[in-house]
Amino acid sequence: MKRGQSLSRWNSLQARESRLAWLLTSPTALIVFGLIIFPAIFSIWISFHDVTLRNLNDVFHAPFVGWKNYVRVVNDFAFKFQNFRQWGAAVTSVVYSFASTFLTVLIGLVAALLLNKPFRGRGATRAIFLFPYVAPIVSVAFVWRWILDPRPSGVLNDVLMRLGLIGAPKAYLATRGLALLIVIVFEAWRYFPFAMLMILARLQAIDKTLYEAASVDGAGGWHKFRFITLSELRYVLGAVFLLRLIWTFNKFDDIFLLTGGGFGTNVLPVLTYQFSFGAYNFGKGAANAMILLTILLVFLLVYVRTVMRSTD
Amino acid sequence: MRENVRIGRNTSSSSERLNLIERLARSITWPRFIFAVTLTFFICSILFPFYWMVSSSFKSYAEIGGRHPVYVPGALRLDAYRELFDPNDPNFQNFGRNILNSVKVAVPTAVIAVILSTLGAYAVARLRFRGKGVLVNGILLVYLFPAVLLIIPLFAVFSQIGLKLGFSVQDNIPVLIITYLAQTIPVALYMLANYFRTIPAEIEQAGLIDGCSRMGVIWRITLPLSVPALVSVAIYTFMIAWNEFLYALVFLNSRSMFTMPIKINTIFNSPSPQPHVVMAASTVMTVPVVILFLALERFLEKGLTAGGVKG
Amino acid sequence: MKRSVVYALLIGLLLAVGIGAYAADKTVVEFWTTDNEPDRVAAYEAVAARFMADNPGIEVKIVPVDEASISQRISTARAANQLPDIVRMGIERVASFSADGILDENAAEAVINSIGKTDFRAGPLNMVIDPATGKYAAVPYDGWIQAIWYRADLFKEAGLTPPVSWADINAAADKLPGTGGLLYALTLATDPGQNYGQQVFEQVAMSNDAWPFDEDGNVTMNTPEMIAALRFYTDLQRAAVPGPQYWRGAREAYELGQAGMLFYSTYIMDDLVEGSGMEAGGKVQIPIEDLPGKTGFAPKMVGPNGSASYGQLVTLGIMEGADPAAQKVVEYFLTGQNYQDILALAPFGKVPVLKSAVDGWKELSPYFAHYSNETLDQIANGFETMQRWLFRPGYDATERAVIGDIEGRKLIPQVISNIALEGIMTPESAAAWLQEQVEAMLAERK
Repeated sequence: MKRGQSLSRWNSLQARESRLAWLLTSPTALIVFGLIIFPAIFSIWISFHDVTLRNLNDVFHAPFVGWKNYVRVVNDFAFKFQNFRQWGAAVTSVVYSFASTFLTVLIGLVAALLLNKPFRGRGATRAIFLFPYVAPIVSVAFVWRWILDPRPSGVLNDVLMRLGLIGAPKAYLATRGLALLIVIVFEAWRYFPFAMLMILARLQAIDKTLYEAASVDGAGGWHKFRFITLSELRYVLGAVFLLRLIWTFNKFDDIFLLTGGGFGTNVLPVLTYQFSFGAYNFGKGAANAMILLTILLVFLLVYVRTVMRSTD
Repeated sequence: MRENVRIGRNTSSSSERLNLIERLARSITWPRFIFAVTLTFFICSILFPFYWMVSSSFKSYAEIGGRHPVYVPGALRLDAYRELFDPNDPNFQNFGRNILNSVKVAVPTAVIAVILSTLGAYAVARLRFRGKGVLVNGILLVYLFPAVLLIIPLFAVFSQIGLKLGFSVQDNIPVLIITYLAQTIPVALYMLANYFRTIPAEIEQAGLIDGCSRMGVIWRITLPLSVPALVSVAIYTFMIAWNEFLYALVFLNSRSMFTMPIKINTIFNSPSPQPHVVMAASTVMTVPVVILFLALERFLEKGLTAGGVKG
Repeated sequence: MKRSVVYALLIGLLLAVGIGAYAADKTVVEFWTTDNEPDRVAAYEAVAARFMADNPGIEVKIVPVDEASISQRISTARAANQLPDIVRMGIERVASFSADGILDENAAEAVINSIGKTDFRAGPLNMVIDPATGKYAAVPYDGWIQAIWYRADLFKEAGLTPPVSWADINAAADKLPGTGGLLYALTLATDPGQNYGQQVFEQVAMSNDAWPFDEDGNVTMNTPEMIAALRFYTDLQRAAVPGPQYWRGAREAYELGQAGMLFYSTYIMDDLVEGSGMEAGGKVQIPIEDLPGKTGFAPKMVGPNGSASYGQLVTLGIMEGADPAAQKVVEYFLTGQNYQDILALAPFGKVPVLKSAVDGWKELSPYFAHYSNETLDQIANGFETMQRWLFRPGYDATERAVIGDIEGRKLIPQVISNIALEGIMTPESAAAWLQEQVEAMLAERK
């Protein structure tokens, strides 16, 4: 009897809670669904159809072409790996994303370690460390381009020539191979503060007594670092690596503004842009983006299964 | 006895000297040295590009076009700034308009993002409802889709809606704001939800028992306790909207509607470019965000990371 | 917060979207122009203002657009079903756009007939014909011709003949560096991201009778003529400015007396007098006295298998779905003083397509006085002798669209950079690669 009464009351409470929750989340759900999920599904649809400038305003009647766009993308000279000089956008994307994310996390770790213990001016230093991340991409990209300018008025050229290391000015962003390295370094320079903040927060939360206990046991600095610090950080390092990898893989602005995709720095997002707006083949562009997404998903699955599981 | 005194004095002064040197030697230990060098390296490599940006904005044409880069401008010339802001300058860029546009986009985005993500985060943190699992686990998956991909369908969809409801998709600031909201709310919701979970539920229970509605609880209890997180979300969202490039490039067509990044890009690509003007515009664009971060920096760490990645 | 507040916010959001609403009921003619420097835009707006004064009820909106972002903007406008009414575009875009069916050809025909076909030069009219329909796809507006501009004084000093034939050019490449303080003979178009390479190389290729397609529609990129053209051009890097270069570096090198030759359009002519704008800002301080007087002009290139000159025709395209008022606007911009006002923005780079406008045009710049009458006439008549891969008679719409794609994907500049700068391709391997790519593009278009 009493149980029945309390059950119905509980139900109505639960129901009200649910309704409230839906109300609170519906604007968000609507925006995210309407602006991301739906266009994404639509893109998948486009990738299987022939969409060009001709029928772009009437997309729903575009002819279905099955896998043709995907085949065209995979065989495209800009996409596939041709030889060790021309890696193609697919391989370049993977190399670029992994290398720059790894470097970002590494530098973020170093920066977090630097800021971990108090010192005079720590607050100001931490603030300065944030600069590359909060500054607009437009400004930092153009500054870097100027510094790397191939004429004698470029800063790097001037410095190296004055030091006598090079004889004539070099075009750094126009040298295949070197351009990719520079872009990777740029990514790490720009995004390490994100990694640093995440790692630092976790670092500061590590129980100090662990270190004391280890000292008592006679452990040295490096030993303490390896077995305490790193193991406590494993989860956050893994999470940061994953997040940054996804974001870097999808990044368009940075490479577009630095090199436009030339001299071996072409990556899949920039190639998508080139297919869609350069060759007006939106089906191909969508297919390219789908391939990008698939690579990312595969990695995500593998990563979550192996790395993330083992840290819990 | 005199000798003793002399010896005593000598010993004490030389031992003082020894102590000083000893102290110096001891303080320059390997770890400290590496620390100092690394720190200096970091600070220099971070600050140099910004120094270059600001100092170049004060250079004259001659200093820019010379055979060697000028590291310290001869005088603080305002030529570049004049081109940006002075209507009487022959190359007037009307940059003030672009600043206004950026503000018109970034501020509403930040405000609305905070409101919506707060509501959503509260629901995720405190309430039980069907689909919660999907929301919690799936919300960050939206970042898997590259922006470049979404542009064309987004455009097509929006314009169909726009035709029916009578608004234009291009050069439309509210439309741009909504696209930014879609980009920022997921991560904002995630961060806030994590933060809300660290607030002990008992406090809110107490409020509920006292007769507050859920909304009342949010407004009176949760929000005041979450100020660091809210500020972080606001700043973070503002920064993303302020700096955003691709969507602004695609959605804004007419010069007078450009936000700052697009205008800077246009100046950079103009047939007779003026790099110092580009640098001046970049400086103007960078300073507000940096100041905002510096001023509210103490909130950042608490807000962004509390409860988030504690393992 | 009360529930009602939440509702209010939601409604407010929707309202905000609506407030951005545009009353879509005025007659607005949207005119996109790539003449996007502030002073040029002002000139367009002045003409538009006069039009609007004469035609109340029609609003003409001038929208300056970056040349580089036209493709993207047209695409997104198309997706939104909001193409502009008039777009100023080069002839290569006309080929792609008409193949994609987004140009209103009837409107173009109407405007051309209204102004009078006989007033138009024959060359430009022929270039804008859509081979699929036989109609004019866009309205010709202005253009320029390309030439090798060279230091006639130093050529004489070195005993060289003007750089017309491949042999002349090679001889100049060998003799010029070192003559009269020159460091280089010329600047090659080695920047793979700029279409300057496409423009220059086309002339070289055509002068050797190397074309992308033959009469039967086969792709002919991998032919001995094309390979020879690639070899000739890229070998010139031995005497050229190092690093990736495009028109800006080329003209700076010529004006600063570092290089003796320059592939450039007639746009250079006023720059030779007063110094062009530099990448680093400011103007080039020309160290050479009377550079225009010392500069020779060689628009025709003679190769082993033919001869060719290259140029550009810029048109005003009326887009599909444009308001009929757009035709009036286009006609207005081609009439009398209005036309002259626009041509005056860069008289050397804007050669009129209307015979009736030539006399007025010659008055437009004091710099014209620096050049000989013969040179000026050659320029005014340039449209008649100009050739492009696009305009080989007999190319159908698909082939023209593919040529537009070749240009759009910057195949030629990439190949030149690969051979001349990076050495990762040879003329033979480049020709084979080009063959492969163009065949793929043709297959895609079919």
